[in-house]
Amino acid sequence: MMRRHLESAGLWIVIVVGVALRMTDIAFPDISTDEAQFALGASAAQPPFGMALLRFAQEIFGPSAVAARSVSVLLGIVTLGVIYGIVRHLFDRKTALITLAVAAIFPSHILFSRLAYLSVPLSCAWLAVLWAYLKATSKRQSLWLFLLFVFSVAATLIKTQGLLLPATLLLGRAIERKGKVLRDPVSWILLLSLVPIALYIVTHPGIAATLLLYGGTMYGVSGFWSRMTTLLITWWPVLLLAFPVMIASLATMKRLPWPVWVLLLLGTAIGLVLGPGHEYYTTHLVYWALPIGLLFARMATPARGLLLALLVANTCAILAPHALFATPWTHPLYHEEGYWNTHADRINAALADAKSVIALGSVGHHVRWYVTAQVLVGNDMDIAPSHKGLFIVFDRNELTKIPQATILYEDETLVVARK
Amino acid sequence: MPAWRTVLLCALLTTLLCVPLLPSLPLSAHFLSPRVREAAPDALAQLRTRGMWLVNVQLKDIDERPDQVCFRWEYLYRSRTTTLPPEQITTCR
Repeated sequence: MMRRHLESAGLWIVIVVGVALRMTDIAFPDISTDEAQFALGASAAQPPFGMALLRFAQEIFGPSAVAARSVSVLLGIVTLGVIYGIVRHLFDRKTALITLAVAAIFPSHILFSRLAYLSVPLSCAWLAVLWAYLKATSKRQSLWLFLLFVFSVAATLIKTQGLLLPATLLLGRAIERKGKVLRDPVSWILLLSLVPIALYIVTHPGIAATLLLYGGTMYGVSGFWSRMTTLLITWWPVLLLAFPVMIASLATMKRLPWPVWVLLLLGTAIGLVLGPGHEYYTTHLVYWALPIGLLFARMATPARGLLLALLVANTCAILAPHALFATPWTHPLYHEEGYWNTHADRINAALADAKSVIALGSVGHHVRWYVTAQVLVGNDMDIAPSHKGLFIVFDRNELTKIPQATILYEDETLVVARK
Repeated sequence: MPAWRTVLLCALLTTLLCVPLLPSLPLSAHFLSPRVREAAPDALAQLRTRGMWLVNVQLKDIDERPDQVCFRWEYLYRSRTTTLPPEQITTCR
């Protein structure tokens, strides 16, 4: 009894550490171009709900990186509760608590719970869809049917790829019922949940345009081995010891029902198919907490305690608060404070009260986040020799486009010039 | 609530979610025309020459005339602290 209480206390300490790590160093890194894109509601390739969440947080707390990232912090913590609910539904309380602890300390999920990407809201929604699906198909309670619809619609409207889970569950359900889906409420619910996103895609050409633009290059499986290599190179620094534990947990897969396999497969393959070099897809690897939790639950307490302690140390090595300590494995985002966080004031001072500025070179959405003047993308603009105005130049070779301009500010990253 | 009543409720909610999107269908239908699809990249290139962020541009109307195809856009620039008034732009090819 005493040992059970001690173990339970130990698990809760791990969970609290995981929750706390999601709330640290939120303001430290610069807003990235993708984060700025979502926080500014400026992506033609995505449906509106995910970006609306980020805008809503900024309406309440003000237009800041912390406000935008608070959505990921909150939903990252909610995700842990959903994972507990799924495992509690499938197994016992002890296994659910162990799985919760593993998920709490999963490094890639902690990382992206601190950033304003849409991957944490989507992974939370997908887990909620899975939970509602398992409940709706086992208990047949109308409440869970309704929640399946709500979570499914939410997932599809957070990110376009959100439709993949409901669509695959629908397919799986049809196979399970050998095609007899006309009298199946669950199938109808999943089908209905896909209608709004289908209509949204038809009425927003930007989404189809993005698929056409990246299909066969970034999207797809062409150059499979190169993709696998890139994927593993992307995964390794943000997982370290968690990776071999994931591999070991494959032994427990046969104890999990097929809908969980679907989620695991989607979460693992999504990076391979949509962009192996995009680190934010590692958010979805938190689903591996389910088979890892099963693996740990079957171990003797000392072995389990040791492995959990190693995973905690692993995560702290990557993501401990930068003010506490740094290690050779500390994630690059937390090595030093972001360039724009430390230089934006000086750049804006050089621009003074300018209404607009033309940006030359590689210009990301983060420039619009940090620069107060209206930023025009100068790369395709036909800038006449007589054109007068302010310029931010990211590539010094572009200075030839504005001869005889006066330099107002320069550093190792950019030049602010007036012509 | 019986399961089929829940399905009906969800069907109603689906309809409510889809209604705001229906007015955009005629605009999307324009892209079935090869002339429009051919003219679209040039229209985007014209917007780029103005220094616009394409993600801040929303297509409002397409006018397919015998001699040219014109796209009407609304540009809504948004930064962290500012949302500029919408700007109406027409590009033709």
